[in-house]
Amino acid sequence: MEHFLLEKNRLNEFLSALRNYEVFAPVRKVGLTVFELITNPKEAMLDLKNQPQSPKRVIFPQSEILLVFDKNNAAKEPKGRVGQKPQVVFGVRPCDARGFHMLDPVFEREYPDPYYLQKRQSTLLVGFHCSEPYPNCFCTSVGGNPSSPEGLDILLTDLGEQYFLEVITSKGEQVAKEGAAVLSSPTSQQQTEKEKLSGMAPQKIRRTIDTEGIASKIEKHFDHSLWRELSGKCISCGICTYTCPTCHCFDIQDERVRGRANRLRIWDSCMFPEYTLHASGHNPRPTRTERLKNRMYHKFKQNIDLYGVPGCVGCGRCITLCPENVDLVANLKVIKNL
Amino acid sequence: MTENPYLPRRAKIESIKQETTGERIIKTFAVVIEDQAYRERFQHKPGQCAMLGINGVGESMISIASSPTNKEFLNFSVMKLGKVTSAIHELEAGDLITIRGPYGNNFPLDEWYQKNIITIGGGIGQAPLRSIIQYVLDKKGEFGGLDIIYGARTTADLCYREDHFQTEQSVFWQRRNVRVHLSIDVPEAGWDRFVGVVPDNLLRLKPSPENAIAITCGPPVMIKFVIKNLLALGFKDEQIYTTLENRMKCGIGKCGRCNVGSFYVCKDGPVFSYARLKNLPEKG
Amino acid sequence: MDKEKLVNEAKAVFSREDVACLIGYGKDSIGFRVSPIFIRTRDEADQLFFSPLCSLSLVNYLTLEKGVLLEGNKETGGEKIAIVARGCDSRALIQLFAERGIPREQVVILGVPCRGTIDLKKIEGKFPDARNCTEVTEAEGMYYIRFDNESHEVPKEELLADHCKHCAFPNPLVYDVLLEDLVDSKGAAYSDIEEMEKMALEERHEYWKDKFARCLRCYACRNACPLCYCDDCILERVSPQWVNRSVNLSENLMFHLARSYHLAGRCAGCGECERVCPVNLPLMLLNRKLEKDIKNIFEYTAGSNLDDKPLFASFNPKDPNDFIF
Ligand SMILES: Cc1cc2nc3c(=O)[nH]c(=O)nc-3n(C[C@H](O)[C@H](O)[C@H](O)COP(=O)(O)OP(=O)(O)OC[C@H]3O[C@@H](n4cnc5c(N)ncnc54)[C@H](O)[C@@H]3O)c2cc1C
Ligand code: FES
Repeated sequence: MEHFLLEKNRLNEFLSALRNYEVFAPVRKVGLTVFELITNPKEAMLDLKNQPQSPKRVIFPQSEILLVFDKNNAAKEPKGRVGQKPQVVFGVRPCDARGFHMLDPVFEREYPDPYYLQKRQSTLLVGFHCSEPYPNCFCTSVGGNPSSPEGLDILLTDLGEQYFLEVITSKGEQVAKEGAAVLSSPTSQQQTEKEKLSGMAPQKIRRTIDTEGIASKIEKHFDHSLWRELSGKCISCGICTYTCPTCHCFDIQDERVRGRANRLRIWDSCMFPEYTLHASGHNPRPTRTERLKNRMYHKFKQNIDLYGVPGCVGCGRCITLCPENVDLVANLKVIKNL
Repeated sequence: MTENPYLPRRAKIESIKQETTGERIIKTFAVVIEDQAYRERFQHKPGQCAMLGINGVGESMISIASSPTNKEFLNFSVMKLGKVTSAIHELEAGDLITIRGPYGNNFPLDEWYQKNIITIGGGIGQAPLRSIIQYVLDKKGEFGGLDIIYGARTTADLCYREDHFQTEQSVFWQRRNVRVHLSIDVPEAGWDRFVGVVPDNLLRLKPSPENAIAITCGPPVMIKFVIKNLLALGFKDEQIYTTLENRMKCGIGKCGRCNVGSFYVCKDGPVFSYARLKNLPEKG
Repeated sequence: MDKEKLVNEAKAVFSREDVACLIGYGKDSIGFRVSPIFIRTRDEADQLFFSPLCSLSLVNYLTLEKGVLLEGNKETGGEKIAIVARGCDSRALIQLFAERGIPREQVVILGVPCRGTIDLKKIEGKFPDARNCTEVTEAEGMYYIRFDNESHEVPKEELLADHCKHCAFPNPLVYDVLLEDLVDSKGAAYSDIEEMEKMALEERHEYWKDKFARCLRCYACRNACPLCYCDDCILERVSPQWVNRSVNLSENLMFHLARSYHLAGRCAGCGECERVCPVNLPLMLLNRKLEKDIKNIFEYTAGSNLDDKPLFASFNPKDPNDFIF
């Protein structure tokens, strides 16, 4: 696909040219970098390093109304789901873009999920080559790469004064057209420079794990006493799942607010005991041990069985943000060495 | 865009029958889907379930307790437990309920041609078995014998009592090799059938594994011992079927919670042969 | 702290008492991180350590999954749990004993006088690339930090966890073994709360609105809290449902108000809720505001006295009743 050059000082103009889109970008709010709808391009904070949450929520929000119930309690789809403005998410890390690739089959297959798919199809992902990975990044161990275009529509690489802009998909091409006024052609030198940066990127990843054979190890040692030890520190909170770019589990709840009832879907976490609690009181995963094991099973066995790839993009958030340092990579190594 | 799988349809409750008066109340609802097109599309097979719901309250996965050979209505037997099931119990004949489905896999009845069928149920677990029983009775020529082994804690907890008594007493069905074996866990005045738990009744009856299929549904402990006893009686893994239950929300393999190993019970289950079940890492 | 002393005392506890598990601090493999470790035998005690990096509280593990820790030492049939506890942790323990969350006889306390702990977010922010921290010590208002091949001096104020700045109980108030000499304590100070109280109501509302809108409702604050151990938690009850599951400002506000009110007169000030929060909510401001008010109204400070009854389980004729209309 086509390559362009975007002068850094014209980035705002480029964003302004995307008039027909709702633009989501990382913004700094109360000391956190979060993806939000921006109205002024100046709000965008291109701090790739410090994103405690992936842009998953732009397409799969934490709470989303599925149905609204009218006065007669008849169910209707909420207004505004159809005919939404196309969206651009700007400043996506390559691992997070791959995260959408992992979510896609869940929502596409068998019973296509209109809520996710609609937003997914009308959202364009503009990513950045990740030149400074986090200390806990391990994307290269799970099929990713800090400069991978997989899942992105446009990939930008920071060349210092300019961005090297690669159009990956036809959706991306459309956006490049709209912003064409501020784009120029890269020189062959810049092309080489970009390739050099991409080549160097994987070496900056510090943590690695050979995931080959992990699935069968998890299966084989399912009843091993070691799981108990691995989960000893876990406090059953939802941080690992809520910050994960590939976790998709949700709860469905009917809620009444000021007399109006809605049916919502809300992220849920397999780390919570209630997640599997039956109405009878029976719980097939009563302790942290079964729950932590299930999470690793889901990511590194079930996902491979269902979709052929591990359900993990190696973004390292679950490690970095775990308040008790439950370390997925370390745990995988323990299982691997069993 | 394709149709919204979360959108439930309205169904009318034609009649309600209270099955049990024990500690856990079970009511059987006969419902008819209002929308004709959806009704016609709703072609279930024994073993499948549907999401029953009340808008503004929630939804619950419930087994379809009637056979597809019954074209008039769908039966659901609901045990009153929590938020949704309690609200469903408040409804009366003529009220509306919502439904979406049918969901899940089914008992492979097509593969059981001319086989002897043995159903072994406990408590509310008889609901999915009832759809097999009705189906086999309606298509008796396609199957061999039918043994219905069913038990509950007390007589007040037995579901489908009249149906079972009628079939048990019927000379017509006896001639066609249909037998009913009821039991209760603790003795009661006037009860002249077996007293003891279902797995024990099974051992006493000793059904032959010859050309037979055994299907068991009920509380997890009961299933565990029934399977153990079936194996002891010489049944092969492939001859034993059961259903699994897990907490469910979406019913369509997306919300993630109902997995057992790599399967989602809502979509790849609830029916599992023991051959398949045996290889699953967690068993509920 | 002298590692040898800690390890020897821990081993002595194993020899002396019938201990199934000792919960202490261990160095983690990454950067500045410290993890809870669960020592089951005398020999494993060598892994223990303590430094200003030990900012987490271990007390919540006592109640997280009932009985699990006691199961550990099957051979000896151990019946006690030993725990390394700082001043705030000892308050949490006292509160737990008073509430009968766990019997005093079941816990062996290795008390650590604490000079305040380092906020991991702050030190990681300052040295993001540190791989292996070998030592952090403190002297005269400075932290001496060594990692990889570097050594740094950082003023204590820069890295100290916020809630430690206001700590009035650095010394363990209950212990079986004291691991170091007691340190000076400053007495209660609420300058941060007084600042907040100066804000106009509207302003305060805006301040919290912005914060609560970020909450992920991950329950980490509740689960890390040593005093949130109810079997049936109001925050996740279904019938009646006090807090809806949906994540938005109004429900989040309800969530946090319910959480902090249930800790009124109970919070031990360990700062765990704030430490674990992935979106940096200043939850200790709520807890400390309640602590301050309760101190003023009832002359009561949770976990400060082994003989105190829980505030809301005791009645004093002198209690103010101006809330009754
Ligand atoms: C495949 C399958 C078939 C079932 N068939 C029947 C049946 O024929 N008759 C019957 O009475 N019950 C059946 N159940 C169980 C029934 O779904 C639950 O008892 C019911 O959902 C409880 O809902 P509640 O709102 O009353 O309880 P609450 O405790 O208020 O539960 C809240 C929500 O959690 C979920 N949930 C809780 N427990 C279960 C559970 N055991 N299984 C699935 N979801 C749960 C539901 O979404 C429910 O709405 C079946 C379950 C499964 C999985
Ligand atoms: S109920 Fe949602 S995945 Fe099965």
